[in-house]
Amino acid sequence: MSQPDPLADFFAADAAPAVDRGFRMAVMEQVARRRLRVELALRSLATLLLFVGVALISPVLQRFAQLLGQDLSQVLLVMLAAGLVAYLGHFWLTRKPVLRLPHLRFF
Amino acid sequence: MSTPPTDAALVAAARSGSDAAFARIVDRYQGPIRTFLRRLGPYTSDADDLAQETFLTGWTELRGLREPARLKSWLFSIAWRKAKGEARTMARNRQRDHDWQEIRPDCETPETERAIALHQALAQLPPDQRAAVSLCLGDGWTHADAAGVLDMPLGTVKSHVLRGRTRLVEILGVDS
Repeated sequence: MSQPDPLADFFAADAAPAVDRGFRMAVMEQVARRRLRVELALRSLATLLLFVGVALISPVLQRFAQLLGQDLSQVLLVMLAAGLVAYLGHFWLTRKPVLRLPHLRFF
Repeated sequence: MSTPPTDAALVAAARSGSDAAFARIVDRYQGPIRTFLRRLGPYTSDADDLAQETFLTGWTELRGLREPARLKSWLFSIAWRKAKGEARTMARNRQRDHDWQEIRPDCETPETERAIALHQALAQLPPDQRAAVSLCLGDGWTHADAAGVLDMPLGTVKSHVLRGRTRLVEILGVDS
């Protein structure tokens, strides 16, 4: 029969608790913080890219608007207003935005 | 009774964004990782901070884990890398280590006495030897698995464990 390891008692006495809720909460809090930072950074980058994109194509957009003429511009304005009202109405009824930014989860 | 999910299943769920799955990974391995890191350094709070960083790095790099079934080894490798990164600080704090060895709590149970004795004995081993001993003797790892985690040749790990064990037995004054 093999002898028990004399060091086993020492190692057993030294073990950390198997599960410590406080430790888990601290880790998950840090995870949430890091996720928030990453998502903020990515969304800021996406917004910046959007602005740059719009700035780059703005001459084309302006020319397009001029080509449409005033009548069509008014129609577009009405459609835009109707869309906005529909969106707000849907939000009012469901309390959920129809348009939602994609949930960026890279980690 | 339902069987607990495998590591691979938890990794897959955590990768798809489940915080609950990652929390279960933390619960499953926090004990062994904290114990391992506590045995490498003198301060429990420092070791626990390092353990938190280990899990945070694990969460960040989870997508890079090639074999989800080897999650435990992978987390221990991260913990070991972090502990080695702290080596300079530990060297700077050698005096603090010495002071710490003098500290004895007012109220001691046989358990805490044994734990303190083990810490003091481990502190006298070189860091690589301490890590190999902690994994193989303290946590029941095979030499081969410990070699993988510590990124050392198998022969080196075997030698570390053998020498470390002999030294611990000598310092602690137990019969081998």
